[in-house]
Amino acid sequence: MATLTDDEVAQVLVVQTADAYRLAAWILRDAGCAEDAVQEAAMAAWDARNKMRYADDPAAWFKKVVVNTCRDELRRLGRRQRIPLPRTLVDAGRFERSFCVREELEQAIERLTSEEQVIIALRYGRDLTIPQIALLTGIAQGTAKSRLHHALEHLRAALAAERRIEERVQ
Amino acid sequence: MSDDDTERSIRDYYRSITPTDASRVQAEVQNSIEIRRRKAVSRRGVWQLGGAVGIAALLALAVLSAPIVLGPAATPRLIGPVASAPTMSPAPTASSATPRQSSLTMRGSWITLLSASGAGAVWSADGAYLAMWTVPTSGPSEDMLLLDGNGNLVRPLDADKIVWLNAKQFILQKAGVASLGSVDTDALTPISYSFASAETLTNDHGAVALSVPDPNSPDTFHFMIWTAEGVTKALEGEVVAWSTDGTEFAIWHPKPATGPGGVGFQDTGSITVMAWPSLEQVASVPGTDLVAQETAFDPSGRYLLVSNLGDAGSFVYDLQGRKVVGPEKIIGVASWQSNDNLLVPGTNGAVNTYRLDTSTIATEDGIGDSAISSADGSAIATYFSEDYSGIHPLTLIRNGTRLSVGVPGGLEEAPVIAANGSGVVIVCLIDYGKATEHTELLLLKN
Repeated sequence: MATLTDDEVAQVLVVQTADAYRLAAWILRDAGCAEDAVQEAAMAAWDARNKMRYADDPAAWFKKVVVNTCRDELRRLGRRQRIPLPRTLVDAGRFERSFCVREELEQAIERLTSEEQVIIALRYGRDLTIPQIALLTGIAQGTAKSRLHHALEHLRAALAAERRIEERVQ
Repeated sequence: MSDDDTERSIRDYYRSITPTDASRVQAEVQNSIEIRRRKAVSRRGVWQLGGAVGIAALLALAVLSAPIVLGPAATPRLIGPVASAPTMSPAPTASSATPRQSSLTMRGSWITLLSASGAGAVWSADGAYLAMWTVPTSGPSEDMLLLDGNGNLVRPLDADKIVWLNAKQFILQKAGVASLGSVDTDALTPISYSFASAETLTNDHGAVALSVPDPNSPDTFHFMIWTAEGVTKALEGEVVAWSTDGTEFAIWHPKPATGPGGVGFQDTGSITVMAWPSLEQVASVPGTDLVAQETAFDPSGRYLLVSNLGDAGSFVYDLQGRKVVGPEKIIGVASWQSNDNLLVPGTNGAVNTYRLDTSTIATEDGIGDSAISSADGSAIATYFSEDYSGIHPLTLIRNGTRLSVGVPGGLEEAPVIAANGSGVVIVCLIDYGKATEHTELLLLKN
């Protein structure tokens, strides 16, 4: 079991920040919120470094903190009924689908629960497997699988509904 | 659209999310860690502040005084006793042990009595005395001074740590040896019990809760209650709050961590309440998956506030009625006001006041992202916690009057308010990031 000094804990947090930022951006889909979440997570991890220093994998431990922080932020945003669209992050040129599909997806993702949003982001943003998602979020693999399934069903239904509306308009 | 198309669309959508340059975020994290490390140094020598921290928010009917701006930062130095007169006298040019009077004017009912090169302070139970530790002049050790409530030096304290027991008595620890002391005498009585590295929480009525992590399982805590008569048996959990009358305390019971490596964060758990000194459980707060950030009894001791990040949000538990009361799903870390109203810092500097009796909400903008109050809820400070540049706005409210203070630099830590609201200690971080960076301690009396 690794036992890190304060200097080593600080080094892990700083080195992992860039990756944590990408992770937070996928989950929160907003640059400002992602920055705040990573900052908050890093400070929380630093304050809890007596736990972190004993972790088998301190970097993975910090990722879990980031995911938890993002999930809490999604809950807060959801309660305020304000989830900003990720225009600051989305590069339209790289996006192969139509603008409408992207809008539909954004809105459909916003309607998912915070737990489902996290899992969708980890699966399709981070390309993690179900076991990896379960490990990172601290839930059972079966729970991760069912949440992913449920979230996908919601997204498919939302996209299908939008498509029907488009077809009627045309 | 087929299932494959849907998944491809989702994947493309996420891949289009390209964060901007992360180096700035990395630098901010590095800076923040450095600040935390400095704060840790400045806090060395203090045990946990005593008493439940309530909140006052006399947001209505407040009279806004003219804002004041504190004087220029002084060069860090050890100072001695200070004069109690709230005059505008400049700092004397005597030796480093000479008192330095405040350079502030009196505004409203608040008087600034002390402006010193201090690093922190902790009040006695009644706010009549405070222990202050100063920035070291040489070597790693900070100096601890015992001052009266007006900032006059009583005597230096030869100690690494202090915890107040009540209005006059305290425990000092020096090189691992604990002693019982009093403001009335220089004599110290050795204590046979070793406090070691326990987290301490005083009830301000002679009892101190000692919470100790299990060395083999950092998530598991045990606690004992120390008094001059002896120490209780070890019980499971961590004491997180005392009622203001010292007769009840709240205990946090974390669940085993489930994260990578068996170590988790924001671990869930539950809260129970015990009576003191009977150690009988008087309540079990609903919920086994709480993610408690702060727990505080209201000034009357009837309600327990759980600032919770879990699904249930923050809530208030009525210890007499045995039920959750008040507004549902409060967002944010809430605190108490003296009349059992809740104060919740919101976003963009707004502070919300929730009335328990009517479940109505009042919002005031622009006064801070954080708030703290005296244990009796009579005094409140609202402030912005992360701004270290320029003049930092801080608002003090007591008995319906308000003082807006311009603090130089930023706040090194949350303002330390006496339990009865009669005084506030503010530690400023000045010239952050510069060669002249230092802390300045301000003592304001009401």
